[in-house]
Amino acid sequence: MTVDWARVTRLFEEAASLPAQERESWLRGACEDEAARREVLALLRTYDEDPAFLEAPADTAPAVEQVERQLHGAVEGRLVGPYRIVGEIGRGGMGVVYEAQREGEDFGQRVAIKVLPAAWAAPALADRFRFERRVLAGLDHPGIARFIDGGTTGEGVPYFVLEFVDGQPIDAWCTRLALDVRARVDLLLAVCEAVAHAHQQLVVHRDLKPANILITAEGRPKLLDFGIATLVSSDEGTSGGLTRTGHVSFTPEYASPEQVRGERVTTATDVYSLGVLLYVLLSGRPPYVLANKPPVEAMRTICDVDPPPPSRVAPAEVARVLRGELDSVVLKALRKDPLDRYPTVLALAGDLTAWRQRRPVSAVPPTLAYHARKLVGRHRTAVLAAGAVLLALLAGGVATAWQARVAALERDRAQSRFREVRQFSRSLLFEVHESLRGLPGATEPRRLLLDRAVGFLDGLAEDAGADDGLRLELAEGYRRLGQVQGSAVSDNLGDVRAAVASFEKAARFAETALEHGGDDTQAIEIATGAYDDLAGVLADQGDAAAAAAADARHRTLIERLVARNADNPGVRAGIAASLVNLGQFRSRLADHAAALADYERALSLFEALPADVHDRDGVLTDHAFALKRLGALALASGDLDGGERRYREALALDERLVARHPADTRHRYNLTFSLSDLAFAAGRRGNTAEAVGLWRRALEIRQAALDADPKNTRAMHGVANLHVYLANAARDERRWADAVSHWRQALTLRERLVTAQGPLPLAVLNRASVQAGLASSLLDLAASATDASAPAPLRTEARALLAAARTTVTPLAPQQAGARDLLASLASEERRAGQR
Amino acid sequence: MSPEPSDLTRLLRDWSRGQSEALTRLVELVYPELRRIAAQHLSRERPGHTLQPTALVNEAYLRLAQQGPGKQWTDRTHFFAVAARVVRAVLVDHARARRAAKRGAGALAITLTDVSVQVPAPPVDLLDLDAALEALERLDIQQSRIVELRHFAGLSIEETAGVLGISPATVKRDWVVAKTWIRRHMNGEIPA
Repeated sequence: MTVDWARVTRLFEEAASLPAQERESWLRGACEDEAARREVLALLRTYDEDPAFLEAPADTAPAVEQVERQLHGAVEGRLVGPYRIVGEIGRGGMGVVYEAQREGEDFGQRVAIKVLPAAWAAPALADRFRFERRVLAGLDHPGIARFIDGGTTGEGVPYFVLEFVDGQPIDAWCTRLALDVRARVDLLLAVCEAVAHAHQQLVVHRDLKPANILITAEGRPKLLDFGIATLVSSDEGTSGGLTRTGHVSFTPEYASPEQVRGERVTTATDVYSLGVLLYVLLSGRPPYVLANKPPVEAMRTICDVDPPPPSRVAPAEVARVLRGELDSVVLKALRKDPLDRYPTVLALAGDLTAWRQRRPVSAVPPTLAYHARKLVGRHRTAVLAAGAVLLALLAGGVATAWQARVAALERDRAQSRFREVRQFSRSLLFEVHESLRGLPGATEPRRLLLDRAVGFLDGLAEDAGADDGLRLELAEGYRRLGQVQGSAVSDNLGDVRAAVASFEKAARFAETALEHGGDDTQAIEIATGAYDDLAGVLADQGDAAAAAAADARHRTLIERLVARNADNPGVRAGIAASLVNLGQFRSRLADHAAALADYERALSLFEALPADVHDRDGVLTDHAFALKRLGALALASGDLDGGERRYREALALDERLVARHPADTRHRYNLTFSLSDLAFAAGRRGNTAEAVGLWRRALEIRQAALDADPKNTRAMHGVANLHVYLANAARDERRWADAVSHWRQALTLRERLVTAQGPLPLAVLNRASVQAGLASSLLDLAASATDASAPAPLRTEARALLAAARTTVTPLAPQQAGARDLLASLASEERRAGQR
Repeated sequence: MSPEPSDLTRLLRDWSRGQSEALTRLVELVYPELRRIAAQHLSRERPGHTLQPTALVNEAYLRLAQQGPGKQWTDRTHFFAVAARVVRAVLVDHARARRAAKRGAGALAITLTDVSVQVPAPPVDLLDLDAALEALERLDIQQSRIVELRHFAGLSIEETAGVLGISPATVKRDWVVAKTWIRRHMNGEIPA
């Protein structure tokens, strides 16, 4: 090559950026070397013919099989030990299986030879291989393909010689013979027996699936492929006994949560795989659809998603048989937590036998207590002590359990008592309480639990003179208690007064720790959170001055955090969340420009977070919240497009969370804010039908939350609001009766809120405005009535509502602008009601 | 089962010092891992679905990096270079075997040039591509590396830049020129 290639490369790049007709003249000016110019022009022509050339990466699939064959070489006719290979039976992740015959015998014994991947020739694995051979030799059961021999090939690759099984995979067998449910259960019982035998020899199969369970012509199952079975020893591990850690391959569709997480594999792992098998054989469908899911998504599905009962996916005639008991048996085998499954394969077999003999099965449908335990399962060790109390709480037997615990504690010496109580309270506060969040109906138990935990800690602080660590724990504890008592932005019981007291205590403990401990980031963060919540409830309570003071302190602390932690993503995420709340506070004071600045600062912090931090549940939630606040500001300023964009972005983030935690009501609830405001925007565009649709979707979610948790004032408030929006939409569409109905439902909830929260100005005003709305729609209905006698009772009711509203609102008028506005609109409705 | 990470490290070192037989051994060691991942993907995908090398190579890297005490596999550069080379070698061997089979059967290759509808890009003749890459290696070794990483390991412009330690702009420029030159080579337009 005579041309200067580096130069050609540079010229090509520049020329390619020019319009085609200018290239040649530009090149003539840029380069005097004619050969180089010709080369560049030729390249440009070639490039223009097919710019996409080679852009698609190589397709690697077709070569894979081919090369595997090459690596193994032609094996037919080869001698492996005393066996001559006849043909290939199959191949998988753990090697290739050949059919072979013993040499030198006329009717040579037919065997299957499993040759492990070449990498097994590594000397480090030789011991393990010998070890496994010994294990397999110990398995002797008619339901397990017999281990005959093992050795290494000339190249040093290990192989196993196993009984040759002429059979069909269990699923294909069942389909071919069109077996009914009972016959399938019988077949599975035989499989259980073989697996139980292996478990008695301390061998876990780890990869039970149809391909490894062949049914012989006589209809007997034979288990294959104990190739990845691992010896488990009873002295390893503490609870279940048979455990062993290790990284091995498995089949995702049949893999248990502990396997995909790389955790300890026990006999319960085989129970799980048998559960999947049972599910597939009985319903005809796998419990999860993992195809086409990226690995992380598949893993999440296996670990977090509860499969539907098999009867729900089975054909109708089969579903009738499965519903109830078999559903329960299958689901019990499939529990995420190994401790929730059947303790042994024999126990599973016991229930299957019971079902066959029409006796009651031991598996029962999951109860509330089961669900709670499952949630708590993530924090198993910490919760072990608290578990009994938690269950008692949920079951209502609170006092006895606590007394028992306290009595036990009092027998201890003071020092260990202090430690124990503290640890116990801490686990209640953090692990147990956290696992209860998002559980439907948990608001009241959460308050109880927090109340007790904080009470204990408080007692310790008084007795022992607190250290700052304890103070911070108390601050966090009181903050959580305050939130569940009456913070409007989370599930709460509407006890705003108690919430204020709790947040004040939280702030006080955090401040004391701050004074002592200086500028510890954790202390500032906790103090920040306390003031954040305190400002919110004080504003709810109508105490604007105190709220502003808390807000100011909040802001000061935030700036201190910002100054110290610019490079800590976790803290930055917290700062961003705080900024949103600060912005919200300013928004309440109608300082929209300042609010906008806070929100935008928060948003840029969220957007700059590293992906792993950003992807945390809490951060995604806060980010979505910031977007919603910005959306709300945009809508309020008339920017419908901008507002809708923000809400859609928020919706996408919240939907990610809902998909991640389908059982968690909080994330679902968070969707409703976006839905509701998108409805508002649609309404503003004149699209009332779309708006009503969106509001109804939001209503469905919130109503479900309220039904599950009837004391949750946040849900009451949320449902009431949606009825108000729907009432107004109905009025716009002149559907008077619908409007009346929505107002009535809103009023019921507003009444309940006043009862729950006490006569807070905001609660009273909200109730009065719904009374006014109902009165107005009653008057509309009266005016449209065709029946002359109908209007009178409607008007009477309207007048009574207006009078009640006036009585409660008048005393508030001096301080509350909202009250004065409401009085004005009451007056106009009163005039309508008064006209005959 | 996977090879011992320490073996891989040693072989990578040998290979980077110019011992070409180390590559052969690396192929043997890395290949089963790649194959196993490929097989898993194949069983998950619909039939006929192509397996992108990106997924293959990245997953192999992650798995191998997770094994062992950790330090050995921090060298992504080497790993991707090897993986791309492995995939290339594997595919070319496969193509060679298939071509031999075709010739043996006396099949005649017929190409349709008069195609009016949009069709997916015709599969590239891997043996020609391999020969062109070898020629490009003599002309500009960095450009041949870029093509290997982009096409056979499926890396993006940015990832390629990261692996080679050069700017994405350079990768982009070299990639376009290199692949265009390769196309000319494959069309027989480059005098030997």
